[in-house]
Amino acid sequence: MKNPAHHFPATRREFLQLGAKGAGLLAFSRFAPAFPVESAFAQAPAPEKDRTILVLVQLAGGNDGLNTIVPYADPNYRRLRPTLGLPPEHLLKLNDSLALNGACGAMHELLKNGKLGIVQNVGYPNPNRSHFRSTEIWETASESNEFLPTGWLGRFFDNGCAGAPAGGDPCGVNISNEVPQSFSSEHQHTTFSIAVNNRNRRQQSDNLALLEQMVRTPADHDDQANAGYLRHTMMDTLVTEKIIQKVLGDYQTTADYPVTPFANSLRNVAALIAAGTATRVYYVSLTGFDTHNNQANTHANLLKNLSEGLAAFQQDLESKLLDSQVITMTFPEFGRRPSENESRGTDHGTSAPLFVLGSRIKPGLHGRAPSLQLERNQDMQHSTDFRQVYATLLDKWLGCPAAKVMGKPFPSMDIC
Amino acid sequence: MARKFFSSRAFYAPPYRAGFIKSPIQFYLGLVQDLDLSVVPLPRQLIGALRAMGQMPFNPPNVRGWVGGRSWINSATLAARRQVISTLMQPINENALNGDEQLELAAAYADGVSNFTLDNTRLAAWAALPPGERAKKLVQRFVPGIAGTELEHQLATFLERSAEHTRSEAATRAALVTLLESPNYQLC
Repeated sequence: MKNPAHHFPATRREFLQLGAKGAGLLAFSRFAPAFPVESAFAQAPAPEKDRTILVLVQLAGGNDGLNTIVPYADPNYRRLRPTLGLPPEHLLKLNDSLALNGACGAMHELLKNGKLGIVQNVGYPNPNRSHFRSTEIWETASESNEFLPTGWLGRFFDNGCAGAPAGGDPCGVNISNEVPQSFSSEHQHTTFSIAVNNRNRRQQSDNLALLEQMVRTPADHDDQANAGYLRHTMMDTLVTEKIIQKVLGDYQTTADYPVTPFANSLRNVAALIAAGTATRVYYVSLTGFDTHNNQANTHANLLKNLSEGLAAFQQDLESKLLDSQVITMTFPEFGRRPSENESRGTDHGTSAPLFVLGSRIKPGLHGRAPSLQLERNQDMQHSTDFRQVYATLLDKWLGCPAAKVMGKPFPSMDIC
Repeated sequence: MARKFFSSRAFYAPPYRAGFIKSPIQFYLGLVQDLDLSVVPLPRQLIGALRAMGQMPFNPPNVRGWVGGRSWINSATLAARRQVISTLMQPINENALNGDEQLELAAAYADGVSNFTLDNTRLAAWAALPPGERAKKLVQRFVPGIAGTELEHQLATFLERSAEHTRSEAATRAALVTLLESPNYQLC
């Protein structure tokens, strides 16, 4: 139920304007952050409206690439996948050697309309098969034997959001239950997390008002930097939460989102983009790809969920004329082994395809398909390093010097 | 040496207090201690809460360990801290537990340990006090040493206003929740 007595501003900018006029709920002026702004960082564009936006979709658990982009014409495929190999009636052909999994009908349409790109066989040298470690490698964009304290998007924030106005919209928003490691940065940036099952946390409004009052009151020990930081962050959280809940609650769309938590997450991203939030990076997670046994149906359902969710998201953005501002990229922590296991599933492997979605991507297949001249339980060799994809998106899409974020240059790709 | 250090007056001097941000484990155990509760024998719940607050026990994000300090605090972990407080304020939903957990809980009850969440009877002693006194008591107990008069005043005003339309226990509970959510309580 909405309370008409309270008008909450729809954007942070509007909020700040109201606040300056004394009409806001919380006055921000006393909370100018004490964090020094590093000028050593590249002056990539700070978050601002109408800039390019990147949406990341984590396929957690490790997606089976061979049953996503199927090399149906290769006899090795049937040899390695005697029971899991997809029959022709479950395939959507891309060319005379490759096909999409039949569950990806919606993505097949996107591909035909020039909205979907497929980067084949993406991985990294000396692959690690632990979920945690490999996720960490993808999120920090490190070498396989290197441990980085910051995530690749965190380093993008360090370079791109330094100098962003205090109290601005968050640099990054994640719709997952934990803040992704990709967001870890050397410097403090506002990021915001929305729980996947976004139930409106209802707290009595007078209770919340008291909390706001307490957050606003400087205590005796306010010279302690941590106390100031804490109050600043808490205030930011309360304000952002209120604004975001309002945006998500009021969002109207004609797009046909399937009723899944994943699709709802994408709907929420669309709502925030449509509200003109200056956030440039969104992170959404789809879990369940760790298909060790009886994979066929599970995997098809996951791909269907992914495919229809992405299609609805694209449709939504197009209907609001925002599609030229957004690129979405999927990534798993690894692919799965080409040989199926004894439980009609697949075990942790190495490389897998990535999808890029948007109106301004270069559609079709990119990179080389993996070779399947493999012994039983042998792994595929990646042909594209995932950091090439990151570097390309940073350089060409987000407008941030990639070498600064990635630590060294990577060959650019023709994906956008 | 340790005794000297921890019993020195300087260690407890107000200027040096409330400068550290509590880690999730400190926050959780402190909360349980401050509320006179026992740690609930439900690992699934407990680990989930610690994980959401950013500190999965024995599983730091990488070999460097937890960075700690300010990195404990962001919008997600703050929301998780609020969630933990509200969990401790509500009775355990025993229908949502699996068989093993129900056994664990039954075993704890059989041992005479049942104070896992804060019930109204425990609030009654505070609830009986007039608003001003109550605010003072709450601040003294939960954020000692930094009992700013301003904070106390805010709490008292809140309690006075709620007295017009809410039962005393409910108002005390709301005030307590807010106090535990406040920045002061995140520091030690």
